[in-house]
Amino acid sequence: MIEDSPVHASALHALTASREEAGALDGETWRAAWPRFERDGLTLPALPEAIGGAGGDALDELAVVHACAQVAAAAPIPETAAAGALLGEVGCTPPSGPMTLGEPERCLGLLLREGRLTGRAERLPWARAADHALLPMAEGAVLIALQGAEVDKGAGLTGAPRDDVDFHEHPVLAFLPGISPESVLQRGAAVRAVQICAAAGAALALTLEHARTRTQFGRPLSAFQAVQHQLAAAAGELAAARMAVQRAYAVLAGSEAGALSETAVARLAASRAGSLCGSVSHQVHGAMGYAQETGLHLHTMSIQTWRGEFGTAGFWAQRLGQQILNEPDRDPWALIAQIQGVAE
Amino acid sequence: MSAEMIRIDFPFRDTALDAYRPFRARIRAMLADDPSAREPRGDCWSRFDDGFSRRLGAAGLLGMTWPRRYGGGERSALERFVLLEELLAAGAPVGAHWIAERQVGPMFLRYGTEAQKQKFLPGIASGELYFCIGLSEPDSGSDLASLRTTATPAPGGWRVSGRKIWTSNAHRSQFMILLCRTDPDGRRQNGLSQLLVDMTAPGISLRPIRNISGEHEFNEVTFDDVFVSREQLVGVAGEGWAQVLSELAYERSGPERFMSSFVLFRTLLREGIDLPAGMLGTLAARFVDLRSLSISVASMLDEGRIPNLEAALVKELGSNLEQEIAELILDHSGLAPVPGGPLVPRLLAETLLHAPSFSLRGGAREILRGIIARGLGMR
Repeated sequence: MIEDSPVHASALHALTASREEAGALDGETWRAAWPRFERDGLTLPALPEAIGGAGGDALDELAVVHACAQVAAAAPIPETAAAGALLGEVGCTPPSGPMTLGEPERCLGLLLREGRLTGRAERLPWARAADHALLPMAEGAVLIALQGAEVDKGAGLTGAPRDDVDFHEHPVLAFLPGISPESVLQRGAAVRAVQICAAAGAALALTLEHARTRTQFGRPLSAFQAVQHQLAAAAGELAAARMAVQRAYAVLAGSEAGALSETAVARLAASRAGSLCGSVSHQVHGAMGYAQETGLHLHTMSIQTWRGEFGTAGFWAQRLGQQILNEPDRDPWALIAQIQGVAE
Repeated sequence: MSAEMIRIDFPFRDTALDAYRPFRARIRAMLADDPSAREPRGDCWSRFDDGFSRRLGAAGLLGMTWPRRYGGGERSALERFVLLEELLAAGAPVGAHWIAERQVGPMFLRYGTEAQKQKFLPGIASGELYFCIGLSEPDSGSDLASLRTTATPAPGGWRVSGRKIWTSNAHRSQFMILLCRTDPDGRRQNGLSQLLVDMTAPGISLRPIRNISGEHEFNEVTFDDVFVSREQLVGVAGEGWAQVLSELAYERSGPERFMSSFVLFRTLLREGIDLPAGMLGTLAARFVDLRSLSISVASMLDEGRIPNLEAALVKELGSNLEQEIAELILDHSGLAPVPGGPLVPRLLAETLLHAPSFSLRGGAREILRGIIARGLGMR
């Protein structure tokens, strides 16, 4: 259970203490707190201490990423953690400082020639304020310093930066053939699944509180059956998504054997939960939730941004479906119950 | 901004169940050879086949988790879960023993006297004793606490009068577990008791109720001054409500709560009929989700917990999936549902005809959502 993780609790504590900085939508503010985030073990939770990590595992990464999204932290801690984990897996010591992570589908225009990078990376979170970027390419990933790259600023739905970056024979710090675009896709997708779950849970928690305290027609909103039922349905989907996300990370951590793509299952569950929790939260909050000052959108619109990153639900569903259709018997049961190899 | 989390307690549990692979292989081999399991049924949980139930009993597969002295095997709930999911995935006819094995047995283990345990558990475990459940009444469905069937004290026991409805398999069960009012001063949940009723007792009459697929599944059972002896009280007089609630976690949480449409889904694919890959993946993922949650609940039950909130959640999610699959296959497979027709059209028909019941049986969706809302602190 995520909430029983001491890493989750301490991450929440650290982020709450640095709430202003963590949630800042300008890079200067959270950069000032970055050394604090590093010291608190938030930035590289799954890496050994010897290479600058907090000495934890993938499940600790889940806990930290979850905490970040739960408090709507805007700083690229999750991206740094994921990029760091990918680097660590191939024995590369990650640089200190904030990192961002590219998506395979959004780095298709990149070309590597004689150790220099040319082309465009699209929708990179915080390219304008991060120090380094890990960018996936077909032959392997490249680690670059962002200094000197041409940044075309853009944003996601909450104003969180999504910048297009143009490289002109940009020097590459490291080329890592051991980091496949698939591994970047899987890790990035898992991170987004956690974030979506956390935001969905945060939105729902706010909504429960709102429903308890807001009265209309002489009683709190929570007394209305229509409201109860909407929240119950949303809570159910959230429970399913949390379970799927934990399973995906358990496979990443190596503690669970996997068959059917756990990341795909986690992304589908997270999208479903995020969608319902988001829409129910807005509905129950009424007009108040639609006002920027309430802050509900920081969760709900983050969900809507994250859902489309590192593969949409449609992409992951297609993959899973094709995996089943490729099975000799086309038997979905073998995959669902993880029983390949059990004799009939 | 609140940093509170919503607590819904589904402990994370391994779902590969590797330790039970040999057992699973054994079950699959048995099903491949059993004549009753040859043709998958889209309504297998309610299909009555006493021969099949007896064969399962003889193989030690009923009451697996119960103490050996009562005919059980002292196996874990997870091993039983493997059995159940393989039976359901194959569409095997488990209807005869299903209710007795799933909830009546655990009820006796929890609340029964030693004499009752010795008298009934071995017969359930052998697949020979079948039970029906007397709960709903014509005027008391979701509002079960409003029930009016009354047991009036008589020498040596009670005389029961009233009516129960939607009683599955009352016409084929030797016994009923009846929830009725034994305390005349009790109101609603107070003063109810569970009585064990012999279905051959004088004063019991049955009216068959056909479901919309034309099958005689349900009954209306009328009690006209039926004598029930003191020894037939289960548990504590007046505590019937609490006893029934503890049964509900068992009733609501098993794999049958999300796998009712799985046979259709699985068979369709294996027979070479296509669904759009994205739709297929979406549905498969939801099965994985529900299986994970269901295994979590099974492990909680194994640990002696009664996870009412979590069981209600699994049932609610499960019935949504079951109903959606039927409709999606209807809209996208190109098949027409044909009652009694070739395999997949027949399965589609069976599933569609049973689908309305998925969100009603074992607790209507609206009631489950109320339970979940209470668990979230809203009521």
